[in-house]
Amino acid sequence: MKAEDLSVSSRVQLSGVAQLLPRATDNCQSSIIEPQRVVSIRHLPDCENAVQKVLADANARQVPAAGQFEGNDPFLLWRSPTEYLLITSSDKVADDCLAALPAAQNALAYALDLSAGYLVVELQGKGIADVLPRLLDASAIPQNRGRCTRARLAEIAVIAVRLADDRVWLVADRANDRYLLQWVSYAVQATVSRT
Amino acid sequence: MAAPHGAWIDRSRPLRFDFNGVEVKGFAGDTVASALLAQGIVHVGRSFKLHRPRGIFSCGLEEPTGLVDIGAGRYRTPNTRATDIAAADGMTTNTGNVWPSLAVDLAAINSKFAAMMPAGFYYKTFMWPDWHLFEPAIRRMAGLGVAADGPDPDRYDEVSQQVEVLVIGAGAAGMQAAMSAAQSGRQVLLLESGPHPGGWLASQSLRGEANSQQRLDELTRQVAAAGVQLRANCTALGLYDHQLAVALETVDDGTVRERLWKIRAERIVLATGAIERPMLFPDNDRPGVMLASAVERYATHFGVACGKRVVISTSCDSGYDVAASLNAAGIELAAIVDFRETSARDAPPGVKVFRGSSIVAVSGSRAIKGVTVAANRGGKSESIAVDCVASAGGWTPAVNLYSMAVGKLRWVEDLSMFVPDPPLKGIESVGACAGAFELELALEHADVIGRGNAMPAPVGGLGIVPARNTPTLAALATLGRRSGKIFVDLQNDVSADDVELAARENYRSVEHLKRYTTMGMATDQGKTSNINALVLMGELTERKPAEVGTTKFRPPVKPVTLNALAAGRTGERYRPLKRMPGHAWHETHGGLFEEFGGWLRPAAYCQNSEEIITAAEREALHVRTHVGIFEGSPLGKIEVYGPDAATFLDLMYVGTMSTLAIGQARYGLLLREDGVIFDDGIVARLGEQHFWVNTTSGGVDRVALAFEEWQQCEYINHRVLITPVTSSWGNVTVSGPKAWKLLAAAGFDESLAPPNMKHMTMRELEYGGVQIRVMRASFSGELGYEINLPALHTQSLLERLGEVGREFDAKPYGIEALMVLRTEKGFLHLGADTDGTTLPGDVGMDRGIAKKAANFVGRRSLLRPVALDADRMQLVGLLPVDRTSRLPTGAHIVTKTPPAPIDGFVTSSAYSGVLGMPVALAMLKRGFARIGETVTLYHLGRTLQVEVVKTPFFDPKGGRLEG
Repeated sequence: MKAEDLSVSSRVQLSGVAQLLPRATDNCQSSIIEPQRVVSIRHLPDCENAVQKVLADANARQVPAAGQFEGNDPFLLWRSPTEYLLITSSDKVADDCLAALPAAQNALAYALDLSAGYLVVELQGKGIADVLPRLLDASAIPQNRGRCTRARLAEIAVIAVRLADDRVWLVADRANDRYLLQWVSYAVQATVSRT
Repeated sequence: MAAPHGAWIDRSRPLRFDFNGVEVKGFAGDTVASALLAQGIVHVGRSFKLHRPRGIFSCGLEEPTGLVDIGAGRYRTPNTRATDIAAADGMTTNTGNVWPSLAVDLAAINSKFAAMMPAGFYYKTFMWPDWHLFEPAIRRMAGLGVAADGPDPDRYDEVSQQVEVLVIGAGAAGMQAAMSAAQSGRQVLLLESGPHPGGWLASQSLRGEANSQQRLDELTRQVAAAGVQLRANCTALGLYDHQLAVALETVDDGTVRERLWKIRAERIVLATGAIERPMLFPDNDRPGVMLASAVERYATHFGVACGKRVVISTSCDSGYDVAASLNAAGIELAAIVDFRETSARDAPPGVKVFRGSSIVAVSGSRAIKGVTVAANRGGKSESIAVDCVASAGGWTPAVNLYSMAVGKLRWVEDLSMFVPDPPLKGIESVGACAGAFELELALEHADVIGRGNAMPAPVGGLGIVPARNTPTLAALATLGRRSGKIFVDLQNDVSADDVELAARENYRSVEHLKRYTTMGMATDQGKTSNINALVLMGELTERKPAEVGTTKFRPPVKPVTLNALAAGRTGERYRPLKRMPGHAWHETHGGLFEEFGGWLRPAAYCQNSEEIITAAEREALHVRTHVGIFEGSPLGKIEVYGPDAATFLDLMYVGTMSTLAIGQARYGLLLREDGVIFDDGIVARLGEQHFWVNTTSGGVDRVALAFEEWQQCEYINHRVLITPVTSSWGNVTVSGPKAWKLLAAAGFDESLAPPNMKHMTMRELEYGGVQIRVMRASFSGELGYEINLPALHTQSLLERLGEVGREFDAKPYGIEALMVLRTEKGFLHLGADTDGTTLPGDVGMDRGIAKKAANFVGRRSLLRPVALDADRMQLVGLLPVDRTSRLPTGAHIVTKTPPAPIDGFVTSSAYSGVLGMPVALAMLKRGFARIGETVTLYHLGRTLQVEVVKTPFFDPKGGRLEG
């Protein structure tokens, strides 16, 4: 018997987490950015050149410095001295990156598809200035566009990405989706209460 | 009192609330305490131990006696300070520890036996024959309130904030420091515990001293103009490392009750003021005895005269200031009783001053009727009719926060107080909390500090304050009878006699004094009692207060509701519980979810009203006879790449991974440096420089961290990249004799068939349009396939296998069934069969260590004498001699009836359906050498004979792995 293609299940729909998103207000809207591809680009300390070429091909003009990101779909986030995360809505961009840095052939610098392991939640609106301090330590909130930080949100790790003054992504482990959205919802409700 | 007295209340907004069934009227801005006092209610509670009548004592969060339950039902907050709670229309307040009523409290009989209930009474009295005989009755009587009877329905908030300068306390000095800092261009946050700024200065308006009101208004204006952010009703609860302050804001706006602020500041200025120290005299706990500053504040802020005729008992010049204020407010002053012979201030005209004198008696029980005054040198006493005693024994700088930041304290002899000295880096003190009580000097100091410059605090401004303020024996003798109790700690009924008893029994440390007498415990933490207690202790043990020292100050500065600390960490927000990508599939199949290693996983799939254990046994048997489907997505997964990946893993694992051929897999143990097993799993080689590492479910974070740490700190020349990928990959395990038949029917490639794919190998291939990694491995002893695939396809694969599997009667099985299966096989389960002492040799996994060429983490520790001890416990199998009795996990293997040292204990236990009898694993001393012995199992008073056997119990040759 030939296997039929396995379908991709949306965790958002399956586990009903979308229902946990807070109701949009004039000041704050939240959404789950799906589908979204997430590629981890790893390199040994002395093998960054190979990565830079691939990233240039993916229209990332330069690799981001520590605590920053570059580009606008694809977004390229600095995650550690030997890792970048490429986040994109384009399958082609992600697949090209994976093809350019195939893990099986080059263990000095490679790309891994982690799309299934990450969830991206977007917060937008002026109200996020009040929401973020309820989710993250004030010192961990990226204040300016182009900044991204690895931070603790309650009891889980997230990457906070400042896309604009009024737009932030929270990138987290998918398995913690319900926990993350419960906190986002609680924080947004608190700001609604205040207004 | 009529307006203009009562600056903090709004007389245009009256309110009513209930106190013990009595309607109390007040105004917006009143506290519960001020409204009660305004209505003439002075008796508000009963003391903790002796149930003596108690009243309102202070006007702030230091309150020891005015404790009430606020609200009812789920909304009730027990045992909280009436002085710190804003009165609200319609609120309910009750006295907590009285029965049947506040006026007629049966437990007040305790006070008749007070002489028989000294410090340590409970410890000494209720030990024989058994404490538990007395415990229920004592517990019923204990406590000062009634807890809420349901989950708190209020909402709480938590916010993080960063500021350049944080000033805690908006008294005059705090406002000055904040304003100066802001004028220097700094971003400043100013916290004020009360509803209005001003502190001490705000209570000085009655007597018009130094144009206090104008100065306060000017300061307030300047603070606002400088751009200082003022947050009122916000109390700093604690200071922590790295300039982190935690503060609680009372919001009560109908949506949020309290808000917890976590504030990080570059610089912190403490301006927390000082707490008045009471005078000690007999029956100083009677309702109507109050701190002098409180009497003054109730008049200024709330327009309340705490008495019609007031006597001031003092040993400090500030008592004369209060006298002036009360006199200006038209409150009759009966006298000033000054413990000292001289003072730097004058009494108001016409007010009699008893110098070198003390109050030696207070008449009245539930309200004061009068006091008796006598000279300290003795002579004749004099009675005065009064209904309020204002007590002014000096001041205690509020150094709690400074001490929490590990600041040192210095005893100032003239002022009888501890002051902060020296300043801490980034944390300075100004105003009264620095010991600066002279307004002009304090403001000058605060200005310098606010601007970021250094200056010693101008300590002083109170004249001479003696440490001792207790009546002399000569004064007490004038009574001609036994005097009443002198209470040092009003909240815990600790008297001067109790302190004396503790000293007599050689409790010299102030910490021991606290524990023995309960002095300084509970909601007020001794804010009004500690200095008096340690002065007394010092006298009794011939030491100076500086030598006695203070007890440790700990957060929170004032009691805080648990929900304010939890701040939303309830329900699903309580802690993260990860969900598997196939969660919904398990739900539709009746999975009963429980937490395992931080993941929500199906423990079993109960049918009808089946118990979990029954379901697990059924599912396990089904796997042995048919085929089972299991989701193992939480299994830890780490990708290890790099030219040195193989040698790196050799260094991390007990086993050798570098000899694996591509496609092969091997089980391995991970050790800590001390040789103890901390994780295990299977490592598969997928390329020359690429390994797929499985860890225990829930263990991946610690394993990845250990890999990173060793790679970054020790094996720094190894070119390796470690990437945890657990959530990105789902895992579906198919186990049982029909496992391959099911996969074949589902369209899996023939190369996976048992003849073509050996046990402990891994293949990468495409299935259903996605790249998957299939490992032949088994934790059940049956033919098993672990199918790893991108997590978002997991649900789809489960559905397909479930559908195709109908033909083979494939059924899902849960964690509990897996535990039955692996116990039958004697497979190690980390955390169940191991603990923080287990070494590889204890579980029979030390074979090959001697031959291994490479070093590995923990190796050297395995050569320590303790690791080579012949008496070590070792993992063995157990079977009940009767072959029917189940062997409880945790049961002890004993040689003597407990309590006695044990020989071992049961680590895993199950009923094996396939064998038709219970089986168990156990750690047993010299276990490997005792195979065949019969030993005694002891559990909850019962014994059971069991046989020590080799494992596995089932399929010892492992033939079933081939299906």
